[in-house]
Order: sequence, then structure tokens, then C-alpha cells
Amino acid sequence: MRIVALAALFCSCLGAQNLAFYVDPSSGASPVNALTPLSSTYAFPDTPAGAVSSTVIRIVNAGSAATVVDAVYVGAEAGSTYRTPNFTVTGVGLGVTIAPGAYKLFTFNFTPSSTGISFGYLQASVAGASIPMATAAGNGTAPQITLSCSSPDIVQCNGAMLQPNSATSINFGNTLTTDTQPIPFTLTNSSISTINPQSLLSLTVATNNPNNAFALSSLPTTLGPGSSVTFTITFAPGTATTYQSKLLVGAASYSLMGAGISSVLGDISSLVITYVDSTGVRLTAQAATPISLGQSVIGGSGPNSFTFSITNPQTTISAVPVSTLSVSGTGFSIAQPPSLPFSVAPGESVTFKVSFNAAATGTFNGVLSVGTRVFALTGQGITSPLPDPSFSIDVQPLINQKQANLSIKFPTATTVSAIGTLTMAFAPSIANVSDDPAVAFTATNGRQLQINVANGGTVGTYSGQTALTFQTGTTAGTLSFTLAFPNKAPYSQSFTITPAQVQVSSITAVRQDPNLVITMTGYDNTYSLGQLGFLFYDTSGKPMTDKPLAVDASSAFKQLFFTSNQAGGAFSLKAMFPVVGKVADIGSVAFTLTNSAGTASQTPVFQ
Amino acid sequence: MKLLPILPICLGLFASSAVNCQVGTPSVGYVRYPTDGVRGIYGLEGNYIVAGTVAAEAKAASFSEAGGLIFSPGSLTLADSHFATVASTEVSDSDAILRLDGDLNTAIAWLPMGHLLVHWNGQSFVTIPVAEGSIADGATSVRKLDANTASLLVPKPDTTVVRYVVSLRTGQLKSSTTVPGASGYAFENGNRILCFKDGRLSVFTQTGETLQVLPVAADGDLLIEQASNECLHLGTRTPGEDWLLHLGDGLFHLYRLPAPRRVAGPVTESAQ
Repeated sequence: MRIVALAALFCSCLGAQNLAFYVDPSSGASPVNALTPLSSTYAFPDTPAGAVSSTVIRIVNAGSAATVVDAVYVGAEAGSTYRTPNFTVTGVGLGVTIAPGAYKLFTFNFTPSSTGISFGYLQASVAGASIPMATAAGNGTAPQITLSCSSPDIVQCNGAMLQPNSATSINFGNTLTTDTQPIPFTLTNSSISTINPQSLLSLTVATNNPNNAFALSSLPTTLGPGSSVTFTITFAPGTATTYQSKLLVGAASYSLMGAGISSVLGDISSLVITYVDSTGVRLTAQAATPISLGQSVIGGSGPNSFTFSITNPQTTISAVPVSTLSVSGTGFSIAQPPSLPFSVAPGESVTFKVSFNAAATGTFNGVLSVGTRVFALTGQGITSPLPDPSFSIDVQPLINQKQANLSIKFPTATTVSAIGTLTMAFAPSIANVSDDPAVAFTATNGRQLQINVANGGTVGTYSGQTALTFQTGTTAGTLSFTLAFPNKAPYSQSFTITPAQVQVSSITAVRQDPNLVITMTGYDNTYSLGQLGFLFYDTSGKPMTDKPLAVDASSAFKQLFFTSNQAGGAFSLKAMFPVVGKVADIGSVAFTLTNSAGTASQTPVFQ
Repeated sequence: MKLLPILPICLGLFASSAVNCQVGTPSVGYVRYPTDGVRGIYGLEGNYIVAGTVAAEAKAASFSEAGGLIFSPGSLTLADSHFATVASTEVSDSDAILRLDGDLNTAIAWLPMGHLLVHWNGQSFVTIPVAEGSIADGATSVRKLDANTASLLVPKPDTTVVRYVVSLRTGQLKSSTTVPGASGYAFENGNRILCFKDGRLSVFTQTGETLQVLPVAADGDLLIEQASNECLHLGTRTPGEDWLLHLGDGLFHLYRLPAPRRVAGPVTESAQ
């Protein structure tokens, strides 16, 4: 057995001998050969009492076997495990295994509690053996910015200066989820400069969870030399679990912790309120932190809605009755709530939605109440960074059978790039007519275009083109353009094409003995063309009849426009007149077309 | 669609019998899209409706009111105005330049690899070998001037355009002249020469007088094909780069031609 123990000790020592220590200002980013080995002595810069100076140390396992580092600590004397209050080690746990070639980082802090020179003996404990790493020295200077707290329940909160970057947390103790634990802190400015506590102090939050069970009370923006300010940190747990956070005062860090507790039997404290945020992440609501429903663009595409769940944990013995569930505050609303009162059985949940829809810019605050549990809500009303666009069309007033160009302009340069959708809609003004197939953007032959706006641009483009060509069709009605960007109220503008007399695009009159043939194309944007008139003239210009020959073509046009419509109000017409006699004597024809908007006439000469 | 009943007319001393009216959907012509086949185009100038496919795999095409001349690898087909095949002939060339700008007798194809002119004489396709070396490579336009002669336009490396007139009886070159003022891609239309260069389409007379200059925002190489008697299709291989050029009142009018819709639209195909 003794041989085995010696062998184990020997192996452990071998492992310890393979550890190398480096000063790592890159916090792990640089290769080890770019680092300076930690010398046997290390001097911290002069540091005010109550403040901290830190350096990152890298422990590298240069051997071929894994090594377990039981602890890294700073002794008050060489080889001593008695800790000095003037130095701390953070960022490394107990019993850390370092694989061959791997490394661990920790932070070595000088935290003078008083003025004067202090020494600390940085050591690593490996397999029960203490390995000296460096002897550190630091000079504590007069205090500058210090922090203290006051609470009979917390050891450190005895009014004395708190040690920053301590491995020991300020423990707020056990607190019911329906309760809060406020602790007063005092920030003292012993420097010769005015400081801004609002920017100096903050609570850390997890990057994936904005909710903190600790809340910081309001702070002034200035604190003069020699002054102090008292503020409160409140622990208000959302659920029965242990919470940790850090109070940052400049570079100094103070660890906070607290334990949320709830009734196991089952009451309102047992309930866990969670919600799914806009990214789909489920978070636990904390009474200490307002639940942000994000930014709502005024006139945007709709409210921001989160789905909330009230869950009674499986471990609770009884169902929990809830008599009130409400949301208050301008812009906030509740949707799909359960009928009141309701009860949540162990292991079950009820859900509802909370929405925020801002009608104006600014910060809005609300309150969600679940029984006696109260959660602050917040949201911001913003305007889109895109200025409001405007449309211009190069054909005014808009008429049919045109290829017009629509331009999208912004009054000022945009501060963001954006992609939007331009949609064109056409509403004919003719009863029982729903569309005109020719109305389309020529680029796609469709009615939607993806519009790009460059950062700093003042125009919208499609495929780099600023002039967006579209066909106006051959039907009277209203063309509406709508430009929609994400998180911005859509912009629409309509253009009316009024009913007009029949428009003739082409017309020919030909003698095809023994016939006269009149051929034309054109459009009737009222779909009401019916009466045709033909008054023939001889080659000397004399009318050949007293009055025009009237032809009622209503049924033919009605069938074309309403039964077999393929081209809106566009039509072709071929009229053939068999003639007995000399067709050569007929010179021209006055041809009239009458629709609901009036009578159009053409006088082609026979060829 | 006929208008009934038949109405009598009286033209002074001329005995009238009846008027016959037909109304219908106006046809603009037919267009070959590089990747979407041959499509009928309905509507009016500047107001087009692209109909369904009438020929899927055409590599070149030319259309008039009388019909269409369509080249697909391996065959040259002449169709009437109802798209019924009038005649078809096998060709071995992989490329062809076509023209049909009037009645079916105006149908002609230039097969550059074989140096052949193939034209319709009213009865059958006639293949005329053209002497090697008489016509430079790179012809962009062919046109049947009459039953016995054809013309070709060839842009030269020095950017000038040469017009060749070839006998359709012998295949011999009858004349070769530089078109005054013309440069770039060239296309003969009646007594006008169209040239595209540097984003501009210029219209010249045969004597070199500039009649019109139209901007054409084409990114790629432009190709012109006859869409109907009075309408030319200008396009590149890039989807969305299509135009129709209408000849009216002596001036050309250029409009954007929409691309075919990718989903079935409300328009169905019918003959002109």
C-alpha cells in the first residue's frame, strides 16, 4: 500500500512539474510561445484601496498526462494556505482537470483593503502538494471609489469596504418568489473627480437571458469628490432556484447570489411564469427585471406579442388557484387569457399572450399581474429608420395603354439598407370586371417587385433600375401601389384612370373589290362600346348617304369584354361592306364608335 | 366573332348588300423567348399580354401576319397564320438567321455553317449554296428582296456594316456595299437599317441618313427577330430584357415587352 501511495504521489508530482504558468494579456487568444512566463515575483501596479488590479494567468499542461489542479489560491505567506484579503483569484474552480497540451485561465487580482505594501503568495494545489507560482507584491494607495453594504443578514454587509473580485459572493439568502430582499449599498467617491454612478455601476446579465433576479435602484448621474450615494440592490426571484449575478463598479466586480424559494404545498409563490420572446427563446419572468416586449414600429406590421405560460411545477403538492390575471399600461394588452378564476394543477400550465403596440414614440411601461405576482413590462415605440417614401409617375394623369415609369424616392438619405416589396393592385371601375391582365410590371410581368434601398440612398431600385416600368392596361379603374418594408408602415398611393372615349391605335380602310374593308385596333376602357357609325364619302368628299349607317355591335363587344376577355378593353375590329358598283368611287368613311364616355371618330381614306 | 344580323347599307347609287363585322382580341405578333419558347403576344402597342407557348424549342424564328418561319436544330419549318405546318425541311446547321416579313414567299433562312440560303418559292423550300468566301462570317440579318435576290448584313471587325446582295437563282454575289453610317449589330427592315451599338439603336436609311436613335438598356448581345409585319422583337438572353419595336407613322416606337409569367395566367392561346 505504501508503495502504491508513493507511486501515486510521484506521478502527481510529475504532473505538477509539467504545469507551466504564463501571464496572458490576450485572455487565451495568443499562442503560448507569444506569452511571457510568470516570473517568481510579480508586481501589481499601485492600486487604490477598495479597487482592483488584475492580470490573467494561463496554466498550461505541458506534460503527456492529464493533471488535476485542486485549487489556485493566494496565501498570506509562502507555503501557507491562509488567505490574504488583499489578493484574490477568480475564474477558476476547484478540481480543474487540464488535459495534456491544454490550459486553463484564471484572474489574479490585487484588491488592497488598506494603503501600503502587501504581499501574496500565488500557489496551486496539485494532489495535495502546494506548488508556488509567484510571489506578488502590490502597493495599496488611498481609496478612490469604494463600496459597502448594510444588512444584518449578510456577513460582508457590515458597513466596511467591500473587497472586489472576491471569490465569496454577497449572499442575499433565501427569498420567496412572492417576496423581495432589498439590500442598501453605499458608493463612496474618495477621488478628486466627479464620477457618474449611472455609467459606472451595472449588473451583469447572461447573454442569452436579459432577465435578472437582481435589480439596481436608480442612481444619480454625478457623484462629487468626497461624496457618497446609497442605492439598493433588490433580489426578487422569479422561481425557486439559485441566482447569481455581479455588480460591476468600473473594473471592480462584486459577486451576488440568492436563492429563490416557493411553497411546496402550492400557493401563488409556487407558480413559474415564463414567456417566449421574439427570438423563440423561453425565459423565466423575473419580478426584478421589466420584461421588454421590444421595439414597436409606429404603424408597423402589427404588435409585438409574447406567449406567456403559468406553470405549476410537478413537485408542488396542490393545484394553485389564480383569481386575477391582468395587464395594464398604455400600449400593452392581454389576449387569449384563461377564464377567471382558474386553477393550475401540478405539472400543468395555462397560456396567454401579452402584446405591445405603440401609438407614439418613447418608452412605455406596463404591469402584468398574476394573482399577487407582479411583473413590470416595458416597450419602446419607435419610428422606422427608413424615411417615408413617395411615388412619382412620369405619365400624369395616368391613362391606359401606356408603359409608365414609377419612381420611389425618399426625402432624406436612409440610414439603413432595406429590402421591401412593391405591390401593384388594379381595381377596375367597371361593374363585373375584376382585373386587366395587361396591368403588370414589365420586368417580371407580375405585380410585385423586390425593392432595394441602399444605406445612404434616396431611391428605391429593382435590379438596379430606378424607373420601374409598368403597363396601365386598357381598363378604367384605380391602380394602387404599396411599398412595404419590415417594421415600417406600408406606404400606398393610388392613381385613377378615368373612363374615356374609345381610343383607336391603328385603322386602315382598303378597297377589296367588290368589298370595302375597315380594320382597326384600339380599346374601350369602359367596356360599353356598342354603337358604330359609318358615313361614306365619294372621292370628291361628298357624303354618299344622308346619315351614317348605324351598326349596333353591343352584343359582340359584350361577349368579347365579358365572356372571352383576354386583353382587357383592347379589341380588333374588321368591318367589311360588300358593294355593288365601283368601289373606286368611294373615297373615305367617317367611322364613329360610341361608348358610355362619348363618341370617338376616325376618317380613314380608302386605299 | 361575327356581328349578326347582317345589315344592309345604301351607298347612294351603289347597291349595297351587307356589312360583316368581326371583333376580337388584337394580336401584336409572335415572339421567341430564349428560354420560354415562342409565345403569342396580345394587346396593343405598349400594352402586351404574353400568351402561352406555341412552339417550345425554337432556336430562331420570324413571323408576319401570313405565318411563321421557325428553326429548330435539324429542321426549318414554315407555318401559316394558324400555326399549321406548310412545309418543313431538314437542315444540318446548328444556327440559322431567318426572315419572314410579308407573305409566305418572303421566307428565307441563312445557314452560316453550310453557306446556304434556303427560301420558300411558294411551292417548296429551295436551297441555294452561296460561294465560299463571297460573304464574310457573322451575318446578323437576311432578307428576301424579291423572288430572285436576297440581302445579308454583316458587321465587320472594324465596326462597319456590309450589305451583300445575292442571287437566289445562282447563289452568286451580285453586290457588296458598305452601309453608310451603320456600325455594330445590323438588321435590315424594308428600306431601313437598324444598328445596335453601345446601348443605342440607330435607324438609318439605306443611304446612311440617321432617322432615329433609341436607347435600349440591353446588358448582353442584342438579337432582333420579326414578330409581325410591323413589329420587331429585340431581346438578349437575359430574362426581362425584351422589347418590341413598332413601326408606325414612319417612326419606330420602342416598348418594354414583359417576360412570360412563370405561373399559368388568365390568358390562353389562340391563333391570330
